[in-house]
Parts: sequence; structure tokens; C-alpha cells
Amino acid sequence: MSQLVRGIVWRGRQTITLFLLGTVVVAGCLVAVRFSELTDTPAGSVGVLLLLGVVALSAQAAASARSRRPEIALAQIRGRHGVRLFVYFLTEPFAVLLLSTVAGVLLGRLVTRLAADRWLETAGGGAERIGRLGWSTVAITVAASVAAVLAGSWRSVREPLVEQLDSGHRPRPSATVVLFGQTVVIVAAGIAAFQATQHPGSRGGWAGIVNPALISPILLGLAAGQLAAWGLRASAALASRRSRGADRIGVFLAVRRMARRSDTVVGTRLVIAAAVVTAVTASATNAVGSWQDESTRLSLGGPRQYPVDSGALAAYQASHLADPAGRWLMAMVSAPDGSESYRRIFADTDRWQRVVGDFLDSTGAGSVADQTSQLEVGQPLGVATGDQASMVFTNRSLIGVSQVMVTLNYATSGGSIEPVTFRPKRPASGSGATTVVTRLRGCDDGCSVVGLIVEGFRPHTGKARFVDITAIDFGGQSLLAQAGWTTTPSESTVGSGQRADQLTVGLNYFGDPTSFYPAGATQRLAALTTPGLSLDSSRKGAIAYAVDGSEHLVEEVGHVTALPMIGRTGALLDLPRAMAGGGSTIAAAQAVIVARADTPATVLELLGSSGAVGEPRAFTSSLERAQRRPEVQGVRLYTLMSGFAALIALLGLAAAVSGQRPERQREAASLRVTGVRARHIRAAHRREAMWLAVWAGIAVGVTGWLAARLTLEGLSLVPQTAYSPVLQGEPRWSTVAVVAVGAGLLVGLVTWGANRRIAGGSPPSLLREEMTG
Amino acid sequence: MRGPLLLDQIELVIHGKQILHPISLELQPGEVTAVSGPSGSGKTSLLSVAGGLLAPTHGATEYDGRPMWQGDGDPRSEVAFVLQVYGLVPILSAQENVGVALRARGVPVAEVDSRAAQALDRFYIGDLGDRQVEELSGGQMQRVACARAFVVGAQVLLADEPTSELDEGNRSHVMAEMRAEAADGAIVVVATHDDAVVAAAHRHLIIDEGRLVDRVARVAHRGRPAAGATW
Repeated sequence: MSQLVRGIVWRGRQTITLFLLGTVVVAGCLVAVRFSELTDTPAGSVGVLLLLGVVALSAQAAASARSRRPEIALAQIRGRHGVRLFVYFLTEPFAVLLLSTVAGVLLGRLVTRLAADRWLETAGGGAERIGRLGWSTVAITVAASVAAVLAGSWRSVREPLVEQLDSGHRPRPSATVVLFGQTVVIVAAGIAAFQATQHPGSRGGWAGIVNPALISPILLGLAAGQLAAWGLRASAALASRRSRGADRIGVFLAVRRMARRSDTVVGTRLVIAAAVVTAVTASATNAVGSWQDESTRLSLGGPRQYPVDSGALAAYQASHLADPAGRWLMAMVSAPDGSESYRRIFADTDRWQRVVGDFLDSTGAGSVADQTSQLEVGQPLGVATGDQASMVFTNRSLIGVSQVMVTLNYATSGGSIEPVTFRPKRPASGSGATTVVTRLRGCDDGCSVVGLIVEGFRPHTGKARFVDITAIDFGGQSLLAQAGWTTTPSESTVGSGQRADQLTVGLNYFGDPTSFYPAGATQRLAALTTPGLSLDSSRKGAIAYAVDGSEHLVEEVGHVTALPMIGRTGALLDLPRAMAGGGSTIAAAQAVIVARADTPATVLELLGSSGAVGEPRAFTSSLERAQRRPEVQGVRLYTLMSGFAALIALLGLAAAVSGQRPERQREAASLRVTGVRARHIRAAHRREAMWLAVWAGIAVGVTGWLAARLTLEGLSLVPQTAYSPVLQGEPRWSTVAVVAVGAGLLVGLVTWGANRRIAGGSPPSLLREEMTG
Repeated sequence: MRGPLLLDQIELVIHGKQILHPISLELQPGEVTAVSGPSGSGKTSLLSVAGGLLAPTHGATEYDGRPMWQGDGDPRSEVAFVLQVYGLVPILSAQENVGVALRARGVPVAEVDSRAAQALDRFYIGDLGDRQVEELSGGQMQRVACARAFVVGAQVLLADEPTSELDEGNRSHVMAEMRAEAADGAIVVVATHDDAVVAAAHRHLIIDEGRLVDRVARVAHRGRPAAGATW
């Protein structure tokens, strides 16, 4: 036992590196699996950390085993062979891995708890509790770590005694199994990338066990790291030939080191792999952020949204009463289509530019603002306020007919349809006119005419009789001022209709009623539609349903990618024109008033005092709520996973560069004894760091973009429906570039930071310590 | 021809241990001086102090009017070493190891390769120029280390066990080359256990526990010390 403790303490740097790596791998896997349970996202992301952890641990174990060659040789000389030799050699790393597992479980619980408290509003207590899946993950992680250490150490433990005792620091060519492993990673990355393109957005692919989109980034990253390592050596070898005549010793030395030493890229490979995963995560975070922003903007339609329960007319009228000039408020109504094939949105489009402004510019509905004028086709809604209506009949037309009654139906802002009846008395003579005045109910806040029905009888004999209505005043609004009253053609309505500013109604023997509709009730509407939308059609052409569910012929005047409140499938129509002559709003419709962010308080107070609106939804608070929805937390999981991957890579890089230190010191001392100045060696180290940084940056940039391009759609980042905005699967170059530059800087700075003092701190006398005299 | 390499009462103490006791020496140009003594007696330390790799704890080393110790542990450009552990740079080929010494001294790069190749030829390893030094045997590496030290035309050549890995033929050749360097005016000091090397030197110093205990001022070519020349 004391020998074990002594060995662990003696190999301080290697012990600490192995302990930290083991801790981070166990903690990362535990956090990933627990967080995926909490957010109901695929747990396959554990594989990312497991793969990277295995590569890092095996590299560390291999380096540790190389440094213990003399010790292994001594153990062989003392009679330890085969399993006994492995047990002797692996006792130390396994003991360290055991300790790191305990530390990893504690760290994993802590990070899970902190992450859940920070990001999950439904997490509550006990987020860090480890269930069966968690413990299984820990067991698998430990088993994988042990296997990685065993594989990494295998070569040094199994090599012949004569090689273990060789103090010449001779490089060993890569083992066949290592080359095979590297090739397998590249092939696997290619297959994963192909699978990800074949099964976007599914968990299919490899027998449905692994989502290729989840595992592709790390495989592509590892492959990119390997290819970058080969590319670096090849380019350095080429540069070596070209630099034979180079004056600068720094370049001369740097390219030769990179061409002839594979250990320089061990840590860089890990950084490239982790950075590719980070590039995908960053792109996913961007895409989800944009999606949430777009979804929230589209769901609101404006910076602030007030619900209106009483229907379209109430919303329209409340917005007009509180903001007559139309600068701050706009009514909108969304309605599902009967067939659910698409939804409709009606907006007071005359106000769109002023109220919505640039709020939707970043969304698929950004182009609506430029096209709203095309929707203003036909007669808009006429809204009346008042408490009485009157109707004027010519006395001549009332002579010879009986029981004339006109019923005027109107929609109130309370959402109901109210009738008002006019019964003119038979006049004493045929000259002059008869005026009938009636009280209106529910029109204080505004109401609109839906239609009128004229009833009456004429004698059985004699010529046809017509009732002439010369004026209709509805709450101060003249309903005959504009042409357009129509009736359904039939035998009984022959001769009926509007002529100039007079409505003429034919009566028959049986007193059949004749219905008239205001112009707007049947007018053709204009619509902006989303691409690919198939409108219902009738014999006369495409139709759309108005706010009250009535059919209107419709003309598609333009296209937009998405529409507020209804998303990416639907049609936008002008609300005042769609309401003209319409009845009450269908029950499934949702009416709202959107307000500018800078709407004056007086306007909002006026709106609130109308009693029509409910509690407002503001953009910022809505976005925050959207960001805390459990179904969009997958990206948080990938963020956590990327963080742990970055830690593993950083540890691997630090361990690799510090492991090279003794050899670099010997090298610097050897160069200085020949007369090469320390500044030239420093220049070589600086160029090497720069070269590594550039290669790492390029590899991360290209592979990160490719990985994000191939896998974003398959990561199940957001809940997708037929109406929700499309998640942007195209990664942003700027995001990938930032990650690539960051990875390059990390590699460059860590490598340069570790090596910059070596030249000055390695005088030739360092070699004397190896001498015997 | 420049003056002698002077060691004036040099002492070396490392980690409290007295490695070298006060030693004064005058090493003359044109002479090959052999330093022998038991392992750990201070031969390598003496060469290191003499060549400016280590600063003496007391005393001074001087050549051509300037101290050998430059303050940073680097040797002066007139000095070349053949180290006991060769001190070859593993990332470089045999020829590049030789050439880098020339580059460090500002030799035009156009000349470097040809001069390095000639230096390797001088030790019969011209065909190994493109090989990585790690691929060479101990004896081959030792000859590359010799070529690297000899190629620069050093005025002070300090060699630590330069023939330990060599066969007799190569050993004689290396010593002949050292004498040739001395004949060209160089100060040549060789630390060795090899009697043949001692025999080939002009002068023989014996060191034990950091002290010079014996000295042979002139050594006959056949390896027999001249009578009465010890102290």
C-alpha cells in the first residue's frame, strides 16, 4: 500500500492529470445523462464525452506508460510478467481512477443541481438525485476509462525489455492498431455524417440506437483532429525541404520539429474535437435563440399584446377609440380554418407600418409591412355609435301594401347580433315620406350592420308593388350613401335592389322576406399567403373565410414566409374589410390588440378603461418564458456537454505540452551547446505555436461548419409543428469563426505559454546532469 | 594564433558539494590535453567550467582576454564541445545537426550543406547524412557529435569521452583529427578513460575528487609519459 501511495505521489503531475481527466469525464457523463432525463432530451450526447474522454485518457495513459518504461523493465527483470506485470503497472492508475470516480460523482451532482436551478423552472429539488440510469452511466464511464488506460498502456507494458531499457529516446513508429484506430475514426465520422444527412431530425440511422446527429460532431471533430495532425506533418515536411536554404534558424527548427514529432499534435487533436462540438453547440444555441426570438415575435405580433375576449369588432373598436389616429394600437384576429389546413390572420393593416414597425423585421413576416397596401381592396367596415336608427320610406310606395316591416341586424362590440325593427304605418296620402325611428341597443361602443330583411304583402291582383327606402340612418351613419346593397337573386326579388341612394324592395302575395346585405358582406378580399398554401376554392375561384366564417372570394396578392400569431402556414387579410357586413366572430378566433413598445401611458389607460382587454404580454417577459420551456432545454444540455468537452481538451492539451517539456529542454540545451541562441529557439517555439494555432483554427472552422450544417436539423432542439417557424439549419459563419479563432488561440497560447521559457531555462549544462563525470 | 585558455584558481560548488577544488591551468594552443580520472572525479565539470557552460564558484576562466563564462551558460562562438551524451538534436538529421552549428555561426546557408557533408565524410559517415540521429548507433552518433564540433573550426575544442563508443580504427582517426585541429592552432582538451587517447595527447592531467593530482606535461606518441614530468 505504501508503495502504491508513494508511486501516486511521486508521479505528481501525471497523477493529477489522470485524476482531473477521470473526474471531468465521469462528472460530464453524469450531468449529461441526468440533464437529459430532466429535459426529456436524448441521452445519446453522453457518447460525445465518453468518446473524447476515452481518447484523452488513453493518450495520457500512453504518455504515463512511456515514462515508466524503466520501472516496467525492472519489474520484468524481477520476474513480473503477463497479468502480474499489468496488475503491477495498472494498480496506480486504477486507484487514481477510483478516486476520480468519487470526485466525478460529487462534481456531477453539484453541476446538475446548479444547472437545473439556473435553467429549469420545473426542476424543483432533487435534480441531482442519481437514478438507475445515472449509476449505470457512471459504471459504463468507469469501465470505458479503465479500458482506455489499459489500451493506452498496452504497448509500453508489452514491448521487449531491450526497448524498455533503451535510454536513447528513440521514436517508436505508430503501432498498427493505433493507425487502424485512427482510420476507423475517420471512416466512422464519414458514415455518421452520411447517416445524419439521410435521417435529419430522427433518431434513426444505426438501427435506431444512436442518433447520428448527436454523435457526428465528436466523430467529425476527432477525424478532423487526425487529418489536421497528418496535414500538419505533411506540410511541415514539405516546408522542411523548402527551408533547407532558409536563413532563419527559427523556421528551420520549427518545421523540422513538426514534421518529425507526432507528440506536438496530441493535445491539439483533442482541442479540435472539442471545438467542433462547441461550434455545433454554439450554432445550435444561435439557431434556438433565433427560433425563440422569431416564435415569440410571431406569437405576439407586436411589442405588447392585449387579449380581447369579446371578438374582432371589440378589438377593432377598442383600438380605434383609444387611438383614433392609429399610431399606437392595432387590432388583430387569428382564426383557424375549418379544415385546419391553414389558419388566417386578420389585421388592421392600415396601421401596420406605424404600430408593428420593425418588430417583425427579423422574422419571416418581415416583408408584410411592404405589402399591406395591396390588402386594402374593397369597402372597409363602417362602425356606428349611437342609440338610435331611422329609416325613411316614400309614402307612394307604402300605399297599397300591408304589414311592411324592415329588420336591421347589426353586430355589437360585445360580440352579439342584435335586430332592430322598423314598422312604417300606412300613410294617409301618397305624397311625402314616412320616417320611422327606433332605439339601438349595445351600440355605445360601436356596432356594424350585418344586413336587413324587408317583409310585407301586396294585393293578390294588380301590378307589382315595390317599397322604396330613401334613407337609413344607423347611429349617425348613412347606410345608403354608398352603393353595394345586394340581395340573393330569386323570383321574389325581381326588381329589387339599390338604385342610386334608394333601396327598392319588391313584395309578393305571400309576404316572403327579402334579405339585403351590405357591400362588404360579399366583397372580394385580398390576401397575403405563405408559400405553398392551398386555398379552398369554389366554382368562382379561391375562397377564404372571414372573421365570422363567411365565404369570400379571395385574390392572392403576395407571399410572405410567416405570419404573426399563426406561423408559417396561413393567410393574412385586412380586418376592416373582412369584417364589413360580417356577423359575430367565430368562437375559435382569438382577437388581440398589439401595441407599440413606446405607447403613451394615456393611450394604454384609455385602452384599459374600455374593459375590452385583458392582461398584456410583453415581448421580453414572453421570451424569457419561452426560454424556460422544458422542451427547448436540449441546447442547454449540449452547452453543458461542450463545457465538459472543452475541459477534457484543455486538460489533455496541458498534459501533452507539459509532458513534452523534458524532451524540449534537452533539445534546447543541445542546440545551445552548438551555438544556437536561446532567442532563435524561442522563435522556433513561437512559430510552432502559431502553426499549430492556424491548423487548429482552420480544422475547427471547416469541420465545425460542416458538422453544424449536417447535424443541426437532427438535434431535436425545438418542438416543431406545421405552423412553427423553421429552425435555421444553416450555421452562421461568424459563430463558427469565433469558435475556430478561440480554439486556435487556445492551442497557440497554451503551447507558447508552456514553451516560451524553455529555451532560456535550458542551458547546455542541463545535459551535464545526464553525464557521469 | 591566440593565447592560452587560462583557469585561475577555479572552484565549483554545486548544492553545497565541492565538485572542483581550486585549480589553475594554462591550456596552450596547438596542444591536445588529456584529462583522465575515475568516474565522478570532476572531468566533465572541469570541461564545463573551462568551456563556459558553468560559472565557477570562485576563480575565473579566460581566453583571448575575455571570460569564458558569458552569464547565460552558452559557450562562446570560438568554443566547440563533443559531449559525453552527444547532445545531438533528435528532430534533426545527422547532416542538419552538423549544419546547425554552422548556421548558428552565421555561415552562409549556401555553404552549410556542403561543409556539413564534408565534415561527416571526414568521420566516414557521409552516407548517413539524411538519417535521423535517433536511427543511428551509439558510435555513429558519437562521430556525428565529433563532426559537429570539428566543422566550425573552433579555437577551443573540448571533448568529453569522444571515443567511448568507437572501435579502434575510428578512435585513432578521431584522435588524429584532434591533433590536426591542434596543429591548426586550436586548444584541444579531451576527457577520457582511454589510455590510447591519453597516449595520443600532448599533455595529460589526472583529476581525482575534484583535484589535479598528477600531470604529465608531454606524452610520447607511443603513449609513454616523459620522465620527470609529473607533479
